[in-house]
Amino acid sequence: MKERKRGCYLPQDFQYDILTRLPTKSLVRFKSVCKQWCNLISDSNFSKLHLQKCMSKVIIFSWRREAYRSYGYYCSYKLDEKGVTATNLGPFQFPISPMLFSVAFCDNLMLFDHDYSSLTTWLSVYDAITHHRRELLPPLHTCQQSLGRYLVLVYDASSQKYKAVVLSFSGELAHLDHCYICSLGSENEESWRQSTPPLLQSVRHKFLPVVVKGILYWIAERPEKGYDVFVQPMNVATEEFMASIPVPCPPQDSFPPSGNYKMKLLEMKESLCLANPTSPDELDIWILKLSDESIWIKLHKICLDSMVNRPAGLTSFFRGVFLPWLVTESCNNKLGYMLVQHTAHSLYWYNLDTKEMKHIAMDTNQMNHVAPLGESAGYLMQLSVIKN
Amino acid sequence: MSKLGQAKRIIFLKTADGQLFEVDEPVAMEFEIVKSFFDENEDAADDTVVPLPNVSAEPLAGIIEFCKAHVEFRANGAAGKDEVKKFNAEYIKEKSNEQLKELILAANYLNIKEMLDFLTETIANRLKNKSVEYVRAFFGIENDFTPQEEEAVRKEYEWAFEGVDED
Repeated sequence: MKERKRGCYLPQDFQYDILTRLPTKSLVRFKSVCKQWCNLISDSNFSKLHLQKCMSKVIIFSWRREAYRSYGYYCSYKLDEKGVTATNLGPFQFPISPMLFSVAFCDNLMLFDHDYSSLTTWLSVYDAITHHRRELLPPLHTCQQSLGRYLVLVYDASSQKYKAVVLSFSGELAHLDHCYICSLGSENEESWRQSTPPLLQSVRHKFLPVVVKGILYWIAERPEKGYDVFVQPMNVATEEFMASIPVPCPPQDSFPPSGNYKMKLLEMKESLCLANPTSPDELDIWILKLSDESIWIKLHKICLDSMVNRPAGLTSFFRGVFLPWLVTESCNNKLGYMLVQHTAHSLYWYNLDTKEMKHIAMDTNQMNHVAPLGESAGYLMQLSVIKN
Repeated sequence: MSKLGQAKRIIFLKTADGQLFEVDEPVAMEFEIVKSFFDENEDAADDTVVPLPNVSAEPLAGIIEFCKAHVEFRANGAAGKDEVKKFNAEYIKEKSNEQLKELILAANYLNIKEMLDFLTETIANRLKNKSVEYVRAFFGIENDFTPQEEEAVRKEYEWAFEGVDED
């Protein structure tokens, strides 16, 4: 309080500069600071500038996989200031032909298995900005018992550290057995903590977790209950599992369950969102209201028919690929872009207001130079958003 | 120009409140305004005192500390590394909002791009989870909404008011 009495105030130029650096949620709140700010934040030029700033903060990790072989090459891309051209930050080659089981991304960091045959060093942390790679001692248990595993990399704001999460699963149905967590720091401080999921759960399909406000979420199935699909949350700070959340739209088919792998978790308005195709030409976006009860509210409906500049290959949300990775929201209520992966190697911004698809130009030449495209080669794109 | 045998040139700066600062040349040259002073007055004597009528001693001391560390980081090839991040985090940790504002005004007057960018980003980070009232006090902005108008704006964007830090 004492600060408020005395004081110098910053001129308007600084106010403008500071505002463009704020996240959308803060801007929306600060519309009620005063009329001038409300007008400024609602101004279409300002929100365009801000939205572009958000779009340019995206870093794309692209993994090219040789078909039938499990090794590949990685490239990272940074979007330009308009968010429509992706510049290659340089390819990253693995030290030895790596066997790839899982990769995880968080901000500009990537966590991956790089040499499965060696028992001591199969985890690496790689920084896409500095191109620095270092090895991380794995949890002993998982390498002794060659189980399948998923990797997750999260930022824990409470301890201000990145945490590596290894989820080990076993059996045909990929039952989640254990969860190992390690805070990244200096090497002698790093040790793994182990916990066991509260529910018998299967994580067979595309494991694409998302972190929203310090909670890590993933989609799982409950095998003993006719393959119920649910969302499993875990608190990143306390490393505790939380009560499971039923999905708003359980898949129609009971066995084998096929609906959930088309579902995709997202973050929007600092809440958990779920993108789910309900028919070949309709995809619903749900948002989870955590404040009172866990209720899902339908936020958007995306229809193939009304899409502007629809890619020719996108004919069905079931057969075609339309994988939403993230949403950048404008401080104007309606505007916003969703970063969508269409084919294995093409990305689009979907404008939630005008329903327009905008292709992101990516320079893949450098990557082809590293590893010429074979006939059966394919891309698998993994994305990550950088914070600053 | 420095004379032969003189290892380090010292630049003299005088603040608005009359304090004299002795600063190593490479650090003082981080200040665009000091650099252009000497560019324009090439034959200025070595003991010339550069007047800084818009900066007082307290923020200038803070700015010298920051620039000195960053000049050293660059010399050691540590730019962009963890130790820089650590230093920056420590540097702002103890600064009050009022000190931050004084620093940003001084860095703006002295025209130090890198520091200005860092300070602006710091303020944005400090404010992003704060309440509307906190931000008004920070910038000295009067609320010109009627209670009804403000209520209407808040209602429309209710989600943005969840999880805000206490003032």
